[in-house]
Amino acid sequence: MDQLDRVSASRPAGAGAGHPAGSGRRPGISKAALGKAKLGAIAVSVVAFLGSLVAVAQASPAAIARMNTAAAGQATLAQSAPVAPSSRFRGGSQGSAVAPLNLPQRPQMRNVRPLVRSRGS
Amino acid sequence: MTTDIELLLDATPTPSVDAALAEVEAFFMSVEQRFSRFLEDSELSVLNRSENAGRPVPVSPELARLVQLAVAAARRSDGVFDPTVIAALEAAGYDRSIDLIRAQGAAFPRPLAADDRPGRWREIQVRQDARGSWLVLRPEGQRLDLGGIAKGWAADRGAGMLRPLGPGVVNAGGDMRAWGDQPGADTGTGWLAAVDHPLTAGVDVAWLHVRDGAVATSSVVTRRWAGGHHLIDPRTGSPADTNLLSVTALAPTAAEAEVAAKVVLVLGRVPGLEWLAGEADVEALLAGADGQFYGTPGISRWLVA
Repeated sequence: MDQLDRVSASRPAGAGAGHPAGSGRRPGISKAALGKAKLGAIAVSVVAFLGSLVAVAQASPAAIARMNTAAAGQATLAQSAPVAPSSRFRGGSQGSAVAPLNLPQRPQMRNVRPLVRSRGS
Repeated sequence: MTTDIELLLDATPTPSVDAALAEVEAFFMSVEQRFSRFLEDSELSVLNRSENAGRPVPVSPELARLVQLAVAAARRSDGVFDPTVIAALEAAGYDRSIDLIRAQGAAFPRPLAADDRPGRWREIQVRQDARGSWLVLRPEGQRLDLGGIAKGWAADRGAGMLRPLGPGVVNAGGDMRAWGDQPGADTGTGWLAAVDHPLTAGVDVAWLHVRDGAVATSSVVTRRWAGGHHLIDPRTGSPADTNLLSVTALAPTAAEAEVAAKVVLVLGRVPGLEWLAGEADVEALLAGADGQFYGTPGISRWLVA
């Protein structure tokens, strides 16, 4: 059980909670409790949770997949010819050497997992 | 916006908290109603239809502020961020909401007329008249698209409304503004944000600390259709031909983060990192089409190890 599930379980009926990033679920929220609304093109999920009820949970690191596996087969998606730099950006070319970044393989923090996710839009 | 909005607030639910959350929820709905280019009666559409012929058009203070932000971003990026790309977007096939394009298929890309080429953002004027009313002058024959900045701006505004009530996050489809510390986290840790894999939604590639700041991710993968994607390179008038799949930017505000992510994505890896070197308080994580990640020198301070 993750943090917010614990919160959810600790709260009275009608109170809801989101799901942590990486859980593979949408941030689904109990509509009755949290006023999840869908109007037009946007869906608003509103979450209020009691900090005092956030239980200490053993962090369960999210599944970390590295680009070198998933991206390798799909890299052609956006792989393309260089863009001519504008006058302000002539310092380098698309092919210049920039050292790749070694991302932490299994990031984790004591008791805490991400509650939000930044995805491409 | 065709996106989900999350409001996370670490506060004891009280009527005033509920009211504030409802107020922000209503605010986001009003943003969609007022600033979508896909809604004919939105304030933005009315501005874009106006036969101004060189005359400024009265607008709300909010629309004036959004246009100001867009012009400032265009100036900072030497026009790589450009609010006058709407004709190029439509020519590329993005002529309806992305939901409709996915359901109905995209129009075949067509050549962009010479008069419709982006780059005329310098002609945009925003000012107040003697009575304090806001006016916007758009380039004649050109329409404005605020889709590249409105989400971040709205997240910043929503955060300002909720901040007095406790630590929280306003997450507008991945463009988020956070303040305070996440529940259960050590003091000063901020909130943790997972960065989505550019090709596999729901899979984390990194966790970031967000300490009283903002994160935004821009991608050429998400809003994509046969023949194009939604990120126009104003220098060519066509979907950006970039060697990056996505860019996640950290900045003091969500509007700044959103702009930075888009600019770097359009520029590509090396020019993008060069541009970032001149941007104060902005860091970025770049997902390359070569399957590698790249980052600004300071990004490691924000990565959860």
